[in-house]
Amino acid sequence: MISVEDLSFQYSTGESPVLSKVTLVVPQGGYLALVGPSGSGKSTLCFTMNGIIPHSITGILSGNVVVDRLNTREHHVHELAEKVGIVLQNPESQLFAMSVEEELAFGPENLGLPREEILARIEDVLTIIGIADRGRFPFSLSGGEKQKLAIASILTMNPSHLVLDEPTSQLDPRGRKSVYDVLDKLHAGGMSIILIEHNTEHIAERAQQVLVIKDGSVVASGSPRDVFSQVETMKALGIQVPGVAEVTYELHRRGIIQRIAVTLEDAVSLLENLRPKEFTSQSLKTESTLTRVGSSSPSSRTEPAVEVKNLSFQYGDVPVLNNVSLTIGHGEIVAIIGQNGSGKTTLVKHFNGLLRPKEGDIFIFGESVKDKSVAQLARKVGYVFQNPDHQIFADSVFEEVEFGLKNLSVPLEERAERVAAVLKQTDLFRYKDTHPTSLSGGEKQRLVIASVLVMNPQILVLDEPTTGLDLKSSRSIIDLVRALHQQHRTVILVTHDMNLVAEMAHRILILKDGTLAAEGSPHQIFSDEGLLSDNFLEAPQIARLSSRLGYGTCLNIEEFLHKLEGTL
Amino acid sequence: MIQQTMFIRKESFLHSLDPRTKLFLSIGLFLVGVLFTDYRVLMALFAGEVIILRVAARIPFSKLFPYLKLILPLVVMALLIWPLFQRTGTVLVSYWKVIITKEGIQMGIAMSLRLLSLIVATYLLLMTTEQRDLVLALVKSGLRYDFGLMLAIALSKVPALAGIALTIMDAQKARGLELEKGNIVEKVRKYIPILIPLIISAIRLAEALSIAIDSRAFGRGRRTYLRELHFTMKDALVTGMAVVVISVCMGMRAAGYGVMELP
Repeated sequence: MISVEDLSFQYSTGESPVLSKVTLVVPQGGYLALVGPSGSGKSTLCFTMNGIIPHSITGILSGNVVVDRLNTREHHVHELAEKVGIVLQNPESQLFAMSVEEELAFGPENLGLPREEILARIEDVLTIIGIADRGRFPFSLSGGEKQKLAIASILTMNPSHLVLDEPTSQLDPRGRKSVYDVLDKLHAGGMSIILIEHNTEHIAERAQQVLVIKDGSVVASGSPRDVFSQVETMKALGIQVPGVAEVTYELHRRGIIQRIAVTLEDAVSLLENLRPKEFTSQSLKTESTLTRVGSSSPSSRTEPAVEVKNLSFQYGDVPVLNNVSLTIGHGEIVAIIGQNGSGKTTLVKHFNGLLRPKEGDIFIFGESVKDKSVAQLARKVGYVFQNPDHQIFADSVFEEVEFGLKNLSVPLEERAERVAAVLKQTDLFRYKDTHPTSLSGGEKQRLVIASVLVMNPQILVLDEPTTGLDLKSSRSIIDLVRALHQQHRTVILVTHDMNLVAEMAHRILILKDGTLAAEGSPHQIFSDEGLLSDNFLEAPQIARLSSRLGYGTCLNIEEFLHKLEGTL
Repeated sequence: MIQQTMFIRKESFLHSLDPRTKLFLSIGLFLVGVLFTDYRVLMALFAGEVIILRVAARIPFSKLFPYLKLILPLVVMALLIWPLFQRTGTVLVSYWKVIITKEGIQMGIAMSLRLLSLIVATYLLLMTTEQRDLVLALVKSGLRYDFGLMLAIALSKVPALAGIALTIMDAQKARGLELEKGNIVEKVRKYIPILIPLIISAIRLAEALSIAIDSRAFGRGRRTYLRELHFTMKDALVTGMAVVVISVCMGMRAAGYGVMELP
């Protein structure tokens, strides 16, 4: 059992408390999910559970954390390690050995366990995580495998509680699923799970208890149904509720159903009776005519912004792209999806010249990229990289955005004008003299978009623009991208976020093993179950709900309600 | 793809030795390389090392060559520069201000062979020993465990940091940065937008790593080492032989053998 009593904490470098008077209890074998906007103190709370706070990270602590009768104030991290293990967001920062076996042995070696015992434990956890080659260099594993290895390296110390801080936020859908399968297995075996997670759909399916934290305080708690049924309250707190909760909330509000469902299964059973039985087959037939709503500008009608012709690419001997041809029309929003390693990034890196076509060619507004430098292409194709921390370097927001124009030798006065205009558009003007590192995650993301936008590219490539952002920040990015699209820019999204794809994309391209596996409208793609499962993809929850009920594939609530009302 | 280790897995005599023995052997060969300046001795040493690698470690020269290529510019430089500065002795060529002597050429050959043999002495260790065994050997030879761990982590994180560096370069290039353009000063300045995010990322990584290490019971007290080192009869023999050879070499050097006489 982990019990947190009246806990407050302030970092020694901080100016105000990060946690104030948090109380919670996780029974042995429990499953607690922590949700809340970025900066609410969730990660800090995790670090108090295995004694990292106050032993490794210092500050002012009041209240108590007691893990299986050990008070974390009195017991050091290495004593608590056999009780509670912690897994962080980025697997790269938790793995440091030269082989899988060493990684797994490190914990029990520190505990001073006998060699035979260590080997037996390694054997056990390897079967749980499904990695066979114990000599492999952890760096060479896939993201999902790395995170499973990080979990396993904790498991070899035999803890009874596992704390995970957004363990899947940096993984592709396949990796995400494999990590959650491992957690399910562990929970079924009696392990307590404490999980920070943005994906409330996942939480609703699994957690026994949900705690909502904002500004360091618990603002709501209870079962997933209790918490996520309060749709308006959650939205106000900046928490995305499951898609089915939004739908059933709306229907409940209109008096059509009696209660709100938070899981897909529950929603299906709740709504099944509303639907006339014979409706199923009919609706599926009429789908193609109905689903045109909302999608616009198919590529054939506009001039092409990007044309890829028979592109193949290898890294060394490894083929990454194999004879890919595609066209992206000017003014389209196209989503490129697929698992990591399917060639998405390799493909889009050709658009701005970071990679050169060896076989095949790429045309940007009709001109071949072959004789153009990256800097020349930067005026046409803006490529926003995934992690803002991997490019922010200047002393102020203004200088950060100005960098691109300096590189393009734009005169001083024009630079000032253009930077100011872009900062206003991205709602960052008030921060122009601020140090970029002090911005929040969502602001940093807007900053890196601004620093590319300032070069005024007509094509914008966004790599995982919403990953790791909370509801409020992702909304601000989506609104910004919408506004940019309305200025007649072509937007290319590279992402694993299917809700983002469903909301924004006109067209989806699926890459698989370096080839274009499919292309189509979100309605077409998200209704093709075989295609989705072949590519380890999952349609947004609302689309799954509507197709389970026989309404075809609906991408948003309005569409769903429209279809439902038609049948009532 | 970034190579994280030079280690080549083989079943061989050298691979089966205790890493401490190999460490000692490598230091010994290094010492011999530094002792002598006669090109014939250094040639014998270099040839000897390549033969050891081939016979005792079963690693063909073709696997060694890519790593030798890395220092080839230095080797060529030694070969070219020594003859230019060694102006006394048997003159072979005298043209304008350039005087090339026989001794100069011999010295050039000797110094490039010395470079090669020193580097192969270390490669001999790195190509036949896993990094974890190397670190363990250092720890068992008296290095503090936390320093050993630090070294091991530094080695294991090289590819990750190299990957981040490449990503940062791509991100800045996408913002119009042209690393190839400009003179030396400008080029150096252009690396600032790459170095700053890299350093910040490295610090972040280190902070998170320290939490991960603490969380895995680091510093609890007496720890087990899953890997055992076995100093066997074989190791004793090799070490003994090495001691004899090094002593003989030192004796010969003291007696004035193997040194190039310069006029």
